[in-house]
Amino acid sequence: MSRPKPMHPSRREVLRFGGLGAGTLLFARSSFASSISADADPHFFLLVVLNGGADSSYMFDARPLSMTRAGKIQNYLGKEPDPWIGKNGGKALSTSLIKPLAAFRDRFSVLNGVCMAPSFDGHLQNMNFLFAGKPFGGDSFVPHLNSSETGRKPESLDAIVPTDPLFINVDNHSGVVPLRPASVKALSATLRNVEPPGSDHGLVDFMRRRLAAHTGDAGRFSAGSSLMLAGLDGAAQVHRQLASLTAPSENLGPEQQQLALIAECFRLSISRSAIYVLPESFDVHAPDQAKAQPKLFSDAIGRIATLFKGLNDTPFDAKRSLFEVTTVMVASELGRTMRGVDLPIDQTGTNHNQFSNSILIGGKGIRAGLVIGASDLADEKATVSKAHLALDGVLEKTMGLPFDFSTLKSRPDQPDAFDIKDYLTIGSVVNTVYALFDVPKSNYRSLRRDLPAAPVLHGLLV
Amino acid sequence: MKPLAVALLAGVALCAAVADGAAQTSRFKGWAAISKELSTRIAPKGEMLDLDRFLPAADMEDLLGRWSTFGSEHAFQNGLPNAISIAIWHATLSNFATSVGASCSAPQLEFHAKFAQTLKDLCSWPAAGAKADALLMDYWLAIMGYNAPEPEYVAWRDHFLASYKDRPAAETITAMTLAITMNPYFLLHK
Amino acid sequence: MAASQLRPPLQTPQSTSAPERPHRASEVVRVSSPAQSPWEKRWWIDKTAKLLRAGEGIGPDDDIEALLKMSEEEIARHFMNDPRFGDALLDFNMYFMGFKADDIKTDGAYNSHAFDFPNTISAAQALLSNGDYFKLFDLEGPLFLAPLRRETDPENMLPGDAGLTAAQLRRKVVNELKVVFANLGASAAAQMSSNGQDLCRQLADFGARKDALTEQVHRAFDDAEIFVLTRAQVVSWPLDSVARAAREECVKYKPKADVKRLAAAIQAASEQFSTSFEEILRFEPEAYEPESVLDFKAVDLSTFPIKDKWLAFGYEQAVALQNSSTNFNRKRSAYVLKRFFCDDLTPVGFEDPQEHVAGAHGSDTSCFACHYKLDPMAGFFRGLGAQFYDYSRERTIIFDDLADDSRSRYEATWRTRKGSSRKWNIGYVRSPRWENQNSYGETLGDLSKIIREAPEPKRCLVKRLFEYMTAENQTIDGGYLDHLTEAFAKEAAVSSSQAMKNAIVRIAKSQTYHERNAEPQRCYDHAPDATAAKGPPCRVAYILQKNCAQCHGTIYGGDASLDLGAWITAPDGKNRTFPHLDDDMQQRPAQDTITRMMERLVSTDPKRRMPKNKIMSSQERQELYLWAQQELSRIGKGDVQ
Repeated sequence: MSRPKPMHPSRREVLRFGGLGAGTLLFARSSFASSISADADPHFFLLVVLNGGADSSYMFDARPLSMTRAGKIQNYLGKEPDPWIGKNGGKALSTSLIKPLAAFRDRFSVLNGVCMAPSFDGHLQNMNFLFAGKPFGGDSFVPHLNSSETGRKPESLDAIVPTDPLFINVDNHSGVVPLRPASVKALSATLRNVEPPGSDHGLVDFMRRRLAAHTGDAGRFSAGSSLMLAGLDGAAQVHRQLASLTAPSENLGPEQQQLALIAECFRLSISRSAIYVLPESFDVHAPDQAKAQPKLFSDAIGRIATLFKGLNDTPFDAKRSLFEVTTVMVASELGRTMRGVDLPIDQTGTNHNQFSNSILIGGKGIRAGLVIGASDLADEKATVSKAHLALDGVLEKTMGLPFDFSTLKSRPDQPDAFDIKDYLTIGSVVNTVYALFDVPKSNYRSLRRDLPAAPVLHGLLV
Repeated sequence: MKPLAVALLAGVALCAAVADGAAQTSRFKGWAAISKELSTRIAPKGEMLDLDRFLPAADMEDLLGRWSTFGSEHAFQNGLPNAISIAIWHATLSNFATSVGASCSAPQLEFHAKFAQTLKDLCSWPAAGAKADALLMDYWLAIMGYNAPEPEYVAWRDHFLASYKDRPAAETITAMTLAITMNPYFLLHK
Repeated sequence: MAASQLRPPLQTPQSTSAPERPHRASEVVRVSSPAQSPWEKRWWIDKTAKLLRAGEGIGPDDDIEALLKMSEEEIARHFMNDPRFGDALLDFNMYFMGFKADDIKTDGAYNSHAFDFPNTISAAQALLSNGDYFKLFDLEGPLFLAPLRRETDPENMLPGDAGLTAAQLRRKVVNELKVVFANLGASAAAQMSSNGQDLCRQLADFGARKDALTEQVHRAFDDAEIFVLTRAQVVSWPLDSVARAAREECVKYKPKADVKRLAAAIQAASEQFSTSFEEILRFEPEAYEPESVLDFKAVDLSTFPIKDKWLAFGYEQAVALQNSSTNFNRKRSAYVLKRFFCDDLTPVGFEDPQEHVAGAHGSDTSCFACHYKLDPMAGFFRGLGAQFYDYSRERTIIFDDLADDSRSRYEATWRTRKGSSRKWNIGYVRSPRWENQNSYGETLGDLSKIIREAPEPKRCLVKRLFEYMTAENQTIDGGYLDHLTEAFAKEAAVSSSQAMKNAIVRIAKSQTYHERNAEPQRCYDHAPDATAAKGPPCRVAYILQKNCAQCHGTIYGGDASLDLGAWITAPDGKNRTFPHLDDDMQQRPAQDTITRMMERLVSTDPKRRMPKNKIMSSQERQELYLWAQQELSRIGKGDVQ
């Protein structure tokens, strides 16, 4: 009988989070079977999620120390940031913590000042907004990348999740499957010893007939039978694919194991995408938690750098690395306020900020090295628009600057009223990914029910 | 109460996982329910069959449909059939079916006396006695229970009487068991 | 269970597909269960056995033939007399609370999860003994401790703990702290005639070690048990009481500490500690292994330092329903509304507003559609901080994100304005306009009372029971649900246990329950007085009839030339819609009608909001709005009905 799952995370386990080291760890250059993807132009997607609302001022949207001295923004790193200039002339400030990523600056671009769900500042609403474009959930964008409507043959699965999962309300994640490195060894070994469905044609034909006998009606059971039938049709291939999975070496660190598994799943056409959730929690309301951000981000960025290095070093086939066939997006569901209200600047945590989020995007199809978008309140002397004041009268938050979608540059004007059309939103980012994967425009996210689709960032695409 | 604060979970990661939002179709009953059903029908009274050993790997039951655990309101996850869950079900139930078929020569699992007798009689396949409708019905009901309507039994019976009429017992029983357990009436719920 | 006992005649294989069903509205009412073949009746029996016997269907030891001779009601009641029904009930109760698990038992022993929701246990026990099943609605009550863990956690053990069993380790840690108290007591006794300064030094050291001493005790317990120890203050209270006495007596300006007082504090702390753990250790697994829900025993809370009733929100809910410093208990509030009132707070008429109103969500925006209910409900939890810890006697409240705030400032969020007849703006709000429709209170006890007395939770309970027995998202006709609820409420006035059993029987006999291949959007059951009619989809037919059709019942002479009781083909020939004429007496397109309906449903302008001058339950408004939203989306996509 199945045993009850252990309760997790325990108090003690949580207190150990963030203790995992970063640093560059070598991947064993695993021998690979040549990619069996039938796709002449393989294209995969890796979404790295920073859970809890990551403070971009510790990465690529930093602020000068003068602003901290003026009591405007907490900064527990205590170092002056450095300019991060994009090839397109876009400007940002980056902290020293991003150093491990500097080696990959020709692999990704930075998007700053991205607006999430304007009317909600909750974790769940914004995570739903990231995935589904609606604060209360809906269809996630990730499975759309694997749709046959893109013109590609769908992979067996929409996505794998090799890490802890996320809590979101989406309707279409039946093809998004948890698959952890620890399970792969036994799984592939067992599957090699079991005949895949279809080996005994007579029997599987019989099973198919029984399933087919129940499809076609409007009832729930018929719908389930249809899904089973489709599943059975694809199961033999999935069985063989999973059976040929090579378990990542246990000598590798957790990120390398997870990336090795992702690489295998891409190579073997098991999955179109992967959703990778970093173990760190970035929700730093309490001062003590906020003070730990330098270490928090050091660890997290170390992991991201490890992933980037792995993508770079891991071959997809004889000619290409994984990075060359994968579009990568690193995002959190929210940004953070600059400080808490009524707390000393060196004793404050931060709250949620849905008006300015930062996203890294790179890999296949993305023009790397750009800085697109920016947030306001660049320093202690900056003024804000009336639009900002209407939404955040106490100036606790930075907000994305109005955006020119044709030039991909921030606008200098300061609107009197908030109009979502003026701002760079997550909708544009997702629609850009959609455009990259040839997802039909009928799926594109609109800015609002009565507005057109959020503009694609064409200048970001190769 | 700072000590309490220190003792508390610090920034617990946001919780569990995605629910099957679109429950407009039947979902898998899940491994726990299937294990219980089978045990009720063919295990000795009050005992549970150790079916976990047939799973291809640890934690694979997560892919077969289960209620989420700890950390958020519970939702039934991974209940919608897809290629990977069918592959895992097939592998798991193949192992189970093989074990039942192998029980003709040596017991692999501890069965209820009634089922053990039914199986023993069926193990004389392809002898005529093993093809008796009453015996086949007994076997069908032992594995499937009353989940399926009668035409399902008829289709199953007729298929094996035709396609397996001369095959060895172990092979036949394995196939019979797999055919029943991969039937949507066995696996799907609501 | 031999085939010979079954003996259905051999038949040629039949198609198992359902007969052709054109889209049609409410069917003729079927009150009694349909005639069934023996095979189908066996299926029903097996299904019902699984439902009422915690997943254990018909097995080889069941007398199926005897059951076949019984009526469906008799069969259902027979299964409800089975010992396993208690587990089934507990499972349903946990489903109702949103925390259903795959199994409440493993290898015959109850999982610790099964003990985490005291109200579910109390209610199950009550039903099994014909008591008050509505204990399910009580948010305060007993504590049911799970058998203490059998295994130690090597990670937290000290070198000297090696080789100890879990029970031995528990006794060891209790004795360790008893020894500490005993030594302090002995010191106090020896210093009775002194100025107590030496004792004060020892107590200062003791105070500095409080956290370490606490962790020392905790090492013998798992996280769920520590949760109980923490909430019950069984370790913290004794330690704090001694530390507090020391702080008051051992001050610099006092030349002589009151050693007698200190000794008394130490003694009291030691006794309290011992008493509490004597009670806790009654739950050692060697001595406590419940075999049924009725065997679950409650902790004697009088042995704990805190004498309040135990909050029904246990360990898992404390994690799942965290309250951050910016959340203002809305997550907990949303949970109560969803679970007890079946109000999902799906925003009716949500639009990203052009303007976001800072601070409390104002009445000018669509945010108010949720927050007028959410915020007042959240106020019941205002004193409960991290992990539902009670801070109502503290000046500072600590939240789950470990931020803290002044409790009085935090609670001011729920104060009413000056001049109000109420102190707090806390309650279950049905209407922001008509206060007499609302139920106000202050404490969780008040909330429990509201839940017990309000009609919505009973309807919600019946609805959840229907979902549990048939399928989630299976459409249920509003009239049928009202019929079931009415019967339930009437019977519950006499016996809530009996009412619940009767409700189970009614649903088990329903057409929906008998369907093998139910269409999710179809209503199979209707109230006895329902009549067959060609009307709108059943999901909303009753809602429209109840709330709208009085005024919008005809296109001739009715309001807005709109008939919400009929359902016709739209001008495009593809969709269906309500008869709705424009100024030129032409039928409006479906999209136009639905859009107008949605606008009227969400409008806050009393002149436009529908139904006009009438209270419509938020659940029904939500359901109707959601349906309209989906219709509009479907029409927009060009899907044909």
